[in-house]
Amino acid sequence: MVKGLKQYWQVAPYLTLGFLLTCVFVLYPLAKGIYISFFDYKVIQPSLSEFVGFANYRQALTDPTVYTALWNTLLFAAVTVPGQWLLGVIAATLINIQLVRFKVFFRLIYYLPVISSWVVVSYLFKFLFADGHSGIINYLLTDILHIVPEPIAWLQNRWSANVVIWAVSVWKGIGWVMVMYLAALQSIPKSLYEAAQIDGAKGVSSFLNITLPLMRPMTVYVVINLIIGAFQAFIQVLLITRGGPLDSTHLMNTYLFKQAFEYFNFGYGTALSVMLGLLIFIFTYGQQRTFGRERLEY
Amino acid sequence: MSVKKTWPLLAATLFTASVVLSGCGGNNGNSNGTEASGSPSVEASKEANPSPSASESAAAEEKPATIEFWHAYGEGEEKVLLEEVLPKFKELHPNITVNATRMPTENLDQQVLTAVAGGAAPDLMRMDNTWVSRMAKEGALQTVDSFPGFDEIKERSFDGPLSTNLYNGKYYGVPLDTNTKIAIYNKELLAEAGATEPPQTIDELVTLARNLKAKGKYYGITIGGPDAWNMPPFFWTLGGSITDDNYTTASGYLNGEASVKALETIISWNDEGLLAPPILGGQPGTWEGLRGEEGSPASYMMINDGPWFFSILGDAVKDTMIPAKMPNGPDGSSHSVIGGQDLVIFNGAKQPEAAWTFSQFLLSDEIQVLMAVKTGAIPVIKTAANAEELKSVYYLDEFVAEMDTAYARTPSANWNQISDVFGKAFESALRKEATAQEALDKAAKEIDALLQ
Amino acid sequence: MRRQRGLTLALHMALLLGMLLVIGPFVYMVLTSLTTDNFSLPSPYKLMHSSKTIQNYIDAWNKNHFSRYFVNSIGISAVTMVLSLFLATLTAYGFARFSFPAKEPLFKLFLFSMFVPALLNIIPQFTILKTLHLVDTYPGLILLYAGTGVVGGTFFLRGFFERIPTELEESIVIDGGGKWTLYRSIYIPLSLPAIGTLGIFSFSGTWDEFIVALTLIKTESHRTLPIALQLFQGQYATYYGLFFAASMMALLPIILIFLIFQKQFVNPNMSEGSVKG
Repeated sequence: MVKGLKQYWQVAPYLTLGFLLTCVFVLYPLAKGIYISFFDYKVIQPSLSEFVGFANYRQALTDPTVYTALWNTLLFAAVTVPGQWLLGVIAATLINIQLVRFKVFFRLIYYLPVISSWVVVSYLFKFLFADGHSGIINYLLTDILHIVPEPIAWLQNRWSANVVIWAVSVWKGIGWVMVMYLAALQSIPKSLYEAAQIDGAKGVSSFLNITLPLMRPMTVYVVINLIIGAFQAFIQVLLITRGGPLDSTHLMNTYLFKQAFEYFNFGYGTALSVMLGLLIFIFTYGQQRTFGRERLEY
Repeated sequence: MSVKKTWPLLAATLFTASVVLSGCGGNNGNSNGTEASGSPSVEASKEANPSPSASESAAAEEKPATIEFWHAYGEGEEKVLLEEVLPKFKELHPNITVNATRMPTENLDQQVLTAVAGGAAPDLMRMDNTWVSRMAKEGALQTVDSFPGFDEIKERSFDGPLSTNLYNGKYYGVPLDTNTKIAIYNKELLAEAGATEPPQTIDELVTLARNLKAKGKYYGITIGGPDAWNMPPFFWTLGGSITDDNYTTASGYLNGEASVKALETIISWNDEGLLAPPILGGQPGTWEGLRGEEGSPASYMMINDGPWFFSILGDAVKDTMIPAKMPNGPDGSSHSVIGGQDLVIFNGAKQPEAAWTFSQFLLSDEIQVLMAVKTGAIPVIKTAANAEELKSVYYLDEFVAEMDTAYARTPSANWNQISDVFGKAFESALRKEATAQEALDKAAKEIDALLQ
Repeated sequence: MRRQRGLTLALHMALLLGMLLVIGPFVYMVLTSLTTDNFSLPSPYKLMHSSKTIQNYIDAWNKNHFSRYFVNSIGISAVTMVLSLFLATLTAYGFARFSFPAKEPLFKLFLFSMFVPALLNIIPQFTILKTLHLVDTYPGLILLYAGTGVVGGTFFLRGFFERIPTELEESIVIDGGGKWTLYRSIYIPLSLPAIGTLGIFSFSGTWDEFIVALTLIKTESHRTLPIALQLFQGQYATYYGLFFAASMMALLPIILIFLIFQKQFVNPNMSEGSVKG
């Protein structure tokens, strides 16, 4: 007990500030959200709010749009997480190869989408995938490459609209993964590769046997972050489809935002929010256990 | 300016004329208020344009105040507000400073809600008139019935825009500007379809659309989308309705025989290829399709849009596009949709009186006419709407005329939900995921619940 | 030797192909920003054939307080970045190199907070800042940005810190240095690549942030750049040429920051020299 207090005393100078701010701006709102989710909450006159127990949660279970949104969210994660990861790793690996020149240039280009505004790229992709011959993508596919006979009405069908949303999200995330892996690749001692080369390992096999295993902590970190990012996705759907057509492309986030700020159903919105948080927590639980414990062992 | 001096007299004369005219017109809700005899209104318009001496004495009593005013005016409108309206106000009320802040339209409801919940709302806001009842329901707004001069404003306003401020029998705001959507035709394509004048009836419009279709890749009718802003002008004109006149139930109205038939007619247009792609979100957009652009000539003969089409595009469309009333439906008239903005004062406003004074100023004939002429915003004050100056704006006539038979959207705190239900019903029927009857039955039931 | 040249060529071809995919949308954006009279997307034909002008760039710079907001944003993003990095390195060091009761559960709580959507937090956050009289002030905005970034930054840096071998500390401890000295002279310098990366994330995150800034900053002249971008979206119509021209200009500072900081994380000596287990 005394030891514990002493330990807290020692770590306090490092943790206090960050912990305090996190409590104030993250944990308190989170707790408040959980509290609100049990009310029919009136944001402007909280005193008129009515305690409803689990009613908001029960409502979620019978709301068909929740299922659509949840399914879209899971699919979004299932597509964009591996998509970003794979392409990002490939980009990082290629750029990291010694033979490649203009490294800074390539790195910058691949990183451009990451630093562009979400708002801007959302509009951009909405236009690129516009239907009819006036959308660039359709123009390329039908008029230039002749791959498809008729222009595709991208945003008017659930699946093609989802494809557009996935495309912009993967496109924007590749550079992030690349940068993370480039940083990690830099920290692998060259001596390891030299040793491997003496053993006869080359190219792909040295990548699979040396690089990837060494990258494991980074992979865990990147994947967890990609999953979090996927479940937090919001702006691209809001701006590209607004959840349409017929509410078929809502993600959990866009739907709960709509419930809270357009319909003023705050209790219901926060209940959806808490449910989504729990879902991600469970989803990533296995990886969390290993995370933070693992070290690079050279 | 001489206009300024002669204005009250002119207004009174014109107003009397408009009473007579609309009295003849008969069948509309908006003119009910104009049945009041001429004399009180003349007084009213005098008061609204206080002579310099009157305002000086009023200003002397005013305590110094700064009011925060939020709006989401576009760039052009903001310019008029800052460069013309506010200086005029400062002249009359030197003690009141108006701090006008332009808000982006994206996420605006979240902005308002957060500010009010956090006790940092502005004093006054110009907000979309479909928002007022739900903001009132949340307790965000003050009632304005008891402010001095409210009754006079009530008297001078058109009923339609005024009614959007009513919630549970009390007024939570005053109308500021209004608009409606009319038919806008591409002159060349109209000729291509074989007409020199815009069609008078829906049947004529459909005939023209068929003529055009026979000539190739043209569309005769453009509806901007299946939503509750783009669809009603056609749906209502064709005889459809959303609720009863008292907005208490949708069953029997939205899914009534006439409504189903109206929707079926629109679906049949779409199936026949008469409707332009925007009905289901397709491209080119309504403006691009109507005007054409480099490399793709105009392909839409007609769109349905508001006065901003003309005020934003200006001279570029003056000679090539024709503003016209919507073609008439089976009942012999057209029914477009009323849009517009209201002025509301928030609960917790620090300067409610000064905010009210500014609201009154914005509703004076002078400012109403100024905004109409400069930005195309249709006045909500009857006398201003009929002012001579408006005639100098070539397109406004048709909009003012359309207002007469236009309907307001269902005033309800749940309008957002109702609007979504409406849009989804129409979209699912157009996409053939349900029949018109099924879609409207389902929507009517859901809207019934939302009207409770 | 020839094989290697072939390989080099193939590698560069692959990277160039990827580059086309990445940069394609930007080409469209640049072309649109050079055309006028766009209320929706310009058609491919128009993009290729219409006359180009930089007028949109001039107009955008002078409209909607763009230049003013630009400067505001640079200041806010820079201060937020510095504060965030300071907080994140401190907190991560605390978690990486101290043991104390309930450390892992506390860390889990931090993690969990990252999972729950933050969209609806804006109202409680706003209420708190209001109580602290920090609404409509830059300190309020920066504190909120930095405060909500601590968890992510800690999560990011803890792993890097833990990978630094404890043996390195010995020399300093023998010289009588305390934990602060270790933090300053070992952990910060050895983690510069990670810190540089985090700096870029922090800067660009703040640079792009719209909802919080708009909610918190009420004085028009104090707003940030993303709000100016939003204001190019009109009530009834949007001039997309202007919007994209403004967006292009908004990209420049970030590119600059990237070029400055990326020098850090490409420094190959760091791992070779000191971090070897």
